[in-house]
Amino acid sequence: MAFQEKQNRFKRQPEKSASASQYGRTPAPIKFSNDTERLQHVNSIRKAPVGAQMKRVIDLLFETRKALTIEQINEACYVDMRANKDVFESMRKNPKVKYDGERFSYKSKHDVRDKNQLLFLVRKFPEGIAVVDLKDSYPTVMEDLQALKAAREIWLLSNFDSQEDIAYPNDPKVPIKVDDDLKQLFRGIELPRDMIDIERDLQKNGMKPATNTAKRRSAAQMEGISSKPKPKKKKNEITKRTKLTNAHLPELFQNLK
Amino acid sequence: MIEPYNKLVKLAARAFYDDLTSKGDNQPKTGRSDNRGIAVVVLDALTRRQWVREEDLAKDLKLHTKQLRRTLRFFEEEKIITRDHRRETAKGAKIYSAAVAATADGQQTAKEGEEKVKLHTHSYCCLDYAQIYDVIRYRLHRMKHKLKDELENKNTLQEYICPNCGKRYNALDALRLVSFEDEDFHCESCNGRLEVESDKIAAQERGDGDDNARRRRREKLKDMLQKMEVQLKPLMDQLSRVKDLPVPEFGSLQAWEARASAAVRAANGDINAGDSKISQPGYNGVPYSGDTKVVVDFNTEGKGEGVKSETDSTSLKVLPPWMITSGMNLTKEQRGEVKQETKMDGTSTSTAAQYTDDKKSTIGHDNNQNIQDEYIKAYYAALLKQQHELEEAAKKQLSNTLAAANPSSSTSIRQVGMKSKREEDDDDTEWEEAPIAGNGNGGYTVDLNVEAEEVAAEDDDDDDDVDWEEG
Repeated sequence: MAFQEKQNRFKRQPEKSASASQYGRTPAPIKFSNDTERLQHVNSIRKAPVGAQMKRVIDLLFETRKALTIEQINEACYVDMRANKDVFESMRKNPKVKYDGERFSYKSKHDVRDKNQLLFLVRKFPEGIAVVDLKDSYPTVMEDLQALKAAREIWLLSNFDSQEDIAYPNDPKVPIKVDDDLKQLFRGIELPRDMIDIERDLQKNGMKPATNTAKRRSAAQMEGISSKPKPKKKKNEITKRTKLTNAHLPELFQNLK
Repeated sequence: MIEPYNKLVKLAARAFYDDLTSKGDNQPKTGRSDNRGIAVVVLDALTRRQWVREEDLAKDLKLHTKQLRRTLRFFEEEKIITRDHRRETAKGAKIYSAAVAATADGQQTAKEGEEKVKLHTHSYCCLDYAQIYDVIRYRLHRMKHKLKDELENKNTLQEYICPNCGKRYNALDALRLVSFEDEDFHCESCNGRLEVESDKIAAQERGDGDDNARRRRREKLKDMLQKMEVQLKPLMDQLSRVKDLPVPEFGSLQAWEARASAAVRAANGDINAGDSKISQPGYNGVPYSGDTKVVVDFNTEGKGEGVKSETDSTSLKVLPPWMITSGMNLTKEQRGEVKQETKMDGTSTSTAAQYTDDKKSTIGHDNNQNIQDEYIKAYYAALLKQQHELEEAAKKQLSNTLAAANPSSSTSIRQVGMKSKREEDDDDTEWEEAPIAGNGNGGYTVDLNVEAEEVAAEDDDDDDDVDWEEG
């Protein structure tokens, strides 16, 4: 049904332009001149460069998402691949087009048809998959991605370097949902700067600490890694003997050594 | 063993950090770059790795390094991860790559030939499972205590707030804040009158005045406690599950690299697999590989291989006649009179080719090789025997001469700190000890990855106390 509409729309294009010149009057029956205009339009398409014709066909295949024969393509967008072998060969070799010997169809990077398949695909990439690679899978893929994000099935992060989104799977084996007030309470509890204090607190409350910070520090010292901060270099301070270019501003140099 | 701890990390990440964004607090959280979940993604990725270079992690996760670093810095403050920053050369990076290849199926990207002297600071990070386990338990315990204390009104320490500047004070500060004019508490900064602050978790309205507010607060606290029990049940269960399990420890970055490199060598069946140097601190897992060129001189009779190093300077150069003047102390070698050393089989070789190689030549067939090996063994045994005999003879001769010269003293003339010239035998044969095979660095390993302590360069002024300025 959608294909028929598409065909009709393509056929109606020259009619619209013809009727537009009649300043809103009721459309008259198709005249010979109108048909000539349509034929001129078809002719201009067929005389266009190979790339332009390919774009028309690929756009048609992308929008319809159907496998179309050469005749159906010709009817829908006036690109005659029987007559133009260059267009046919280029279409056959195009990475975004699949040709099974009879029909042409759009070939997306990932063969995904619906939300479930989309989720299944994202789960295959634990390190993330670029949304750009998913965009052309099927028309409503972006809405489905947002729905999966809302359902906490995936994470959508944007890389602010390239401004492109990356989709990561959320592990279904760890289902846990905590209210915001509990999250805030948990994160609001300040940790002591020194891990030893945490160990002491745990021990005091009858819990055996897993960390042994003292042991770690001694091991680090043995390895020669000092945990102490490095001494900062002494700044070259301005003294009385320093040659000043702005000596006329004495208030800047009141505390000279 | 590590899987239960990984699940604990994942649960904690989703429970408490799933709403974190990598944006700063002052940046607007626009819908376009909403990064909620970055914390979960990063922690999940770290459960699949051990020590990892932050640049590599960012690349793998297709995130910008800045985004990742901000998240990692936050987790370091939360004591969830351990980070290590070090300045290293391309060689240091290669060591890390090798270690990664040993622990995971990582690929070694660095080419063997490249050896840059340029030092770059690289950051590494890994999950600290022991600290994670402790911190989660600590915080959960404190949460529960806080809620229970407030429910039982145990928070007796009164808190005050300044309505103007929002500064908080407690009852302990009261003494220094009391004003003698109106006998009220006044703020230090703006001198505003302090109000009693009900700093309870559930307090939504000012003051503890009416009973309804108090009742509402109690209900909210009870509700929170109940929610805590229900919502955090999976986390609590996991905590009790890992309680008796040993905690995975990766150790410091250097120790981890050394272990990984040792594992690689052990897997490859390398001869250095059991090397004691690996256990030394600072050993970074790369064995010494000098580029000493060796020339192997095969004897025609196949009785042994003479090996001479390019850098050897044991044999002195023969001086040309025009350089030799009267009064010069020259050896026979320098004069060109090469000493001949008589071998057991009658052939003679110069002292220049005395060093013998440890490794046998691989040229020739197996049978021939075996015969050569046997011959060499017999030859060395005979040499040793002859050497011992000569030493014995020398000792006897020495003791005889000493006894004849000084019958009263039977002690040796050799004294500590004094050089003693060893008398040579009549047959004029010199025995040189073969150099001990080693890697040439005397057990001392240089680790380029350890940051040198920066010595503060103190500008010591001279006596004349003059500062010289550069133009």
